[in-house]
Amino acid sequence: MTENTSPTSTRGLAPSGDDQYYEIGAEIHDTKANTDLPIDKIWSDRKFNAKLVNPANRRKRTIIVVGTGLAGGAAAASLGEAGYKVLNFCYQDSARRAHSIAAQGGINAAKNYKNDNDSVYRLFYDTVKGGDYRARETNVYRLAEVSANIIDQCVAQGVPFAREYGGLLDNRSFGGVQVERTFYARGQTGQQLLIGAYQALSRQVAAARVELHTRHEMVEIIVKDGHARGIVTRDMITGEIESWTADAVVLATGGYGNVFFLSTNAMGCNATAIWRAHRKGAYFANPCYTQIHPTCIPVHGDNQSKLTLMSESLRNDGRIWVPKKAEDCAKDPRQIPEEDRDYYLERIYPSFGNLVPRDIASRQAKNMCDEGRGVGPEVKEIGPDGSERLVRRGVYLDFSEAISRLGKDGVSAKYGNLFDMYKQITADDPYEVPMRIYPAVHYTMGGLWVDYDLQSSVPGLFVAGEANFSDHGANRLGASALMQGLADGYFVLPNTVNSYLADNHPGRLADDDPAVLEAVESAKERIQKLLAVDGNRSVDSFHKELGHIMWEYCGMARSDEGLKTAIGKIRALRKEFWENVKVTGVNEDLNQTLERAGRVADFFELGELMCVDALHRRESCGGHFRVEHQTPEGEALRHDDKYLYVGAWEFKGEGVKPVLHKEPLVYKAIELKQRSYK
Amino acid sequence: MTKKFAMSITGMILVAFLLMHMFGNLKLLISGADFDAYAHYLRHFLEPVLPPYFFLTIFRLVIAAAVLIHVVMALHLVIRDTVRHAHSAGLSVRRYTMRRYLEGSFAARTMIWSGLIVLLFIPFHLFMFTDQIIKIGYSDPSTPSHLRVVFAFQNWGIYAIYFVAMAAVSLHVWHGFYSAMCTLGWRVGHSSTVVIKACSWIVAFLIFAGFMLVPTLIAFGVINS
Amino acid sequence: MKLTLNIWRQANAESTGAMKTYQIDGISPDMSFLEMLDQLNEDLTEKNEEPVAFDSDCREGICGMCGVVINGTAHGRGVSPVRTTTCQLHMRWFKDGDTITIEPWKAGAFPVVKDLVVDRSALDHIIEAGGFVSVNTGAAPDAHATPISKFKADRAFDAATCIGCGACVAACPNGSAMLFTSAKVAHLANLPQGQPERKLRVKNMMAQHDAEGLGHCTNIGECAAVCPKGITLDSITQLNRDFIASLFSGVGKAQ
Repeated sequence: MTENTSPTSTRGLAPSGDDQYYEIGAEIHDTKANTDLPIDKIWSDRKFNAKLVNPANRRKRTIIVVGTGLAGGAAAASLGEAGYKVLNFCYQDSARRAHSIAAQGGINAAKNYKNDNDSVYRLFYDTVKGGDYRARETNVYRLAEVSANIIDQCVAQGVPFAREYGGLLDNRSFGGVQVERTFYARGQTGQQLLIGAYQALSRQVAAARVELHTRHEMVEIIVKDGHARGIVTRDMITGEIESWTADAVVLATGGYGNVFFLSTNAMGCNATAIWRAHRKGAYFANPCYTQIHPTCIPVHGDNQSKLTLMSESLRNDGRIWVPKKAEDCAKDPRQIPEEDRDYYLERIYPSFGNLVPRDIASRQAKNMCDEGRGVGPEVKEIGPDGSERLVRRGVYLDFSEAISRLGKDGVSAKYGNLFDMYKQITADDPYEVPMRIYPAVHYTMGGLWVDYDLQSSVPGLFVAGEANFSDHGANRLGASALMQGLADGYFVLPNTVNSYLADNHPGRLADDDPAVLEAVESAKERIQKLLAVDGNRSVDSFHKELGHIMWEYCGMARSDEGLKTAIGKIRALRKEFWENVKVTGVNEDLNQTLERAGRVADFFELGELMCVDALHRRESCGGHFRVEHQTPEGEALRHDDKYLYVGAWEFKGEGVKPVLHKEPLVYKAIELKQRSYK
Repeated sequence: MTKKFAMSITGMILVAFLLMHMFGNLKLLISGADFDAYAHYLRHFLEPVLPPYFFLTIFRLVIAAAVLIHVVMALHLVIRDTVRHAHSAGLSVRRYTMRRYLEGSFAARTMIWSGLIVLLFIPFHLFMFTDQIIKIGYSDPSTPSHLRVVFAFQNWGIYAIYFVAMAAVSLHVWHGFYSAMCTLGWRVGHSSTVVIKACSWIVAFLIFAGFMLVPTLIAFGVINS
Repeated sequence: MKLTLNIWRQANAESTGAMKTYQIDGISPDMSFLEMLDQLNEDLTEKNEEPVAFDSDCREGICGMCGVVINGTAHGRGVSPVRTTTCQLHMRWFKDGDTITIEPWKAGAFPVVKDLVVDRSALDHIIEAGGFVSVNTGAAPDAHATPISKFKADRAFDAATCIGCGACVAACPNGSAMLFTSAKVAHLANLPQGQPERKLRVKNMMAQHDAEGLGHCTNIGECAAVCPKGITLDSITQLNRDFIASLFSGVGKAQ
């Protein structure tokens, strides 16, 4: 098979073998950042050249913000403060519940309070390198630049960051970087930052600058003459389909990890908003970049609804092993003698041992379980041959050595809260019995394509936070998600949306405008279609099966053959969904089954695109690992000569091949290197 | 909120009054004459600087005002909450079909009921010993105070009424004292909580034991006319 | 495990609800309480009955979305050996053959939306009344401009861990949200950034609390007993003290 997908290739058919899956379109470029300037001048230049909206005119401009997490809440609050009329939506019953709240570790900022040689440039460099050189340089530099302002802003809002006895902020090192730049609030940093944004948002709601609509789910976007002009929502209590029009729309609706059914995302996290926007013209960039976290609490049975993450720091002192013999797997681990244990990471990677990077640790855990040496309860799953099988999905993380070295108190001081959490969920005491862990999906680096202004390929449609693709490349560093969400919401959007609004303010569309009516009708039609199927299979069973397919073929290790199988399976499953799904109840009511059905329907389409993206990217980088492309040591092997670009997908219609637009990545401030952990 | 402060402050005044009242009652342990002298002295306090009954009248007015404010505020809060619940959700909806309490004491949850018992008891008590509208075991209105007390508690029915009333008042004070301290913001941490809880135990016990000591001795014939 | 479930079913805010009994089988002790309800809903869907509506989102005990009264205690605190949210309660604390009573938060200020779902917007309105520091984006001084003693910062944090689930209101015999309100007051009162608005904040938040139809606090302590995050009654005392101070400060008068 020949591969001619070089960054400079022009439009036309995909390489042979792939041509049935996608086509190649014109290259795209970001036009907002002036890359002729030195990298540290670009953001100030952009802010200066962005057109402004006079304060007196701002209240005449309406901006819709979907989502109330760190990006959405911060954007809605800041745009409200600036004087715009903001309409803010969330599917939860309160703005304070967005899933940003569940982030534990911390938030990075280039403050250099520790005097350990940190700087904006170093944070920028670490982020680009951590992203395996698949992120846009200009965006990442700006992220590092505004990171320090985020901490100032949060402290002023009353976020209770951890402090030292001297009264100043404490920092810790996080995610394998060599400086201490992570600010934290115990294990609840995300919660505290979100509450800060929620408080700022509440203040604007009280001031009537932000109109907040909770329990409203965005189900369609209104596009007129190529510009985003509003959204359609479903009132989750009454079922009413309403249209909302505005001068600009901001989507801050989070990631799409729930495609995998089991992930560390919240139950309600969904891709409907970005997928609806994608269907109306917004390009979807790098959908295959998903991050899998190695230290999650494993699946206990086929009724499991979600997975819980534990801090990766556990690997500093815990030793990972599985039994050497498959017949030992059901035994009490304390009965398995030392010589029958396989400390596989220490065996395969003698120099790094248990501290190998996330993706390697995750992949090896999967391999051990696939070999039949996993531990814990047997879980039903569909094997690669399509038949049902029972597999134990878990490996031991053993602290007995650490306890004998540090003492129980020493271990407790370091990991006490994690041990308590583990015990509450599993009822096992990790001081006595080894923990069981397994990898889980927890972040998606891909998302809607945006330019330097965070504007998507649909003018007037802005995308912020995890919903966009912009800052993490193929892999996100620890403590960077919170930083990006808040940077986008507090500091980027309020300085870029104005540039669009200064030139585009045709006023809000009338409710009976054809574009509005069309969007409302298509939303209603879709709901009626879901209710009309009246089949025999529950929504969750479809979602679970889709999750199994994604996890099996588009999870930690992907192959050409597997991805093609997955695409076929997803298409078949999607067909069955529309013929056999059972959605109980009616639209005009609080109907949680209907809500889920709409989300799952979009996951099918997104899941397929993820597989197509993974198939086309014949290299391994960051969270995307293709088994055909690895170094002899089993590490990710990039092909910078062919894939140094952002893959932005254009929707062409249901059943029509998507079109790939490449945005070449140019590194001026940073030299490209192969990721190495030697 | 201000209503609760008013309740806390008037509640504390009433607790102080109860302790003083109890102290006076205990004079009966010394002798009937001593008790009568104390009752007389209350009416002629600081004479001749003040006119007769002046202090007692002021004192009664203060206590009456405190009781009135305490009761009105309590009823206001309880009725407001009940009406709101009934209005917004329907009374049947508000009640759990199954309810288990983990922390809150019986006394804390029944403040309104213990309060109502005490409220009903007050006129009965005044009609008996102050206004002599109810006369138990005697008919001459000029019977000395201590004898009226003795005659009353030789009646088991009266003893039972007082027992119930004192139990209610102690329960009420036991939580009320603690709650007032919290509402007034004097509970600042673990140690102050311990102190306040201890004080509320002591005050509640003193009130119950102090008030029931004399009637019990009378009922069992240790003190007689 | 085989269980009997008594669940509050109510079609919508206007209708009257009632308890309904269901049987469920095949529950593993490792399942969470909400996964047990998920399975019930799968069973009901199969039988073409309407599933039980209940709120949940993060299922990690941090978002505050879930919450039902289980066997008479909010979040099933009476069943669990440790503080918990409903999503972090596991079936291993029940026995085979148990009967479990499941009801929504019942309080005057929390109208039932459907089945086990209630409307808790009263809590948001209290925050909107003053539970914030008035600082615009971009107007912040350097984070190190004001040192804060670790002791105070930790106290602020303890109060700030509130997840706004409303268990305190559900557990309170008076239907009061004092613990929720006081958690925000205590969070900001312990930080220098919260000082300029401290007295006005407590006044406005309490006025909103009362206007929402939430009950009064009689210091019973059920709220703190069920709180999944261990917010203590000390925060209520802090609110009381600040409120008394606000009465004598004249703030909010001239507006």
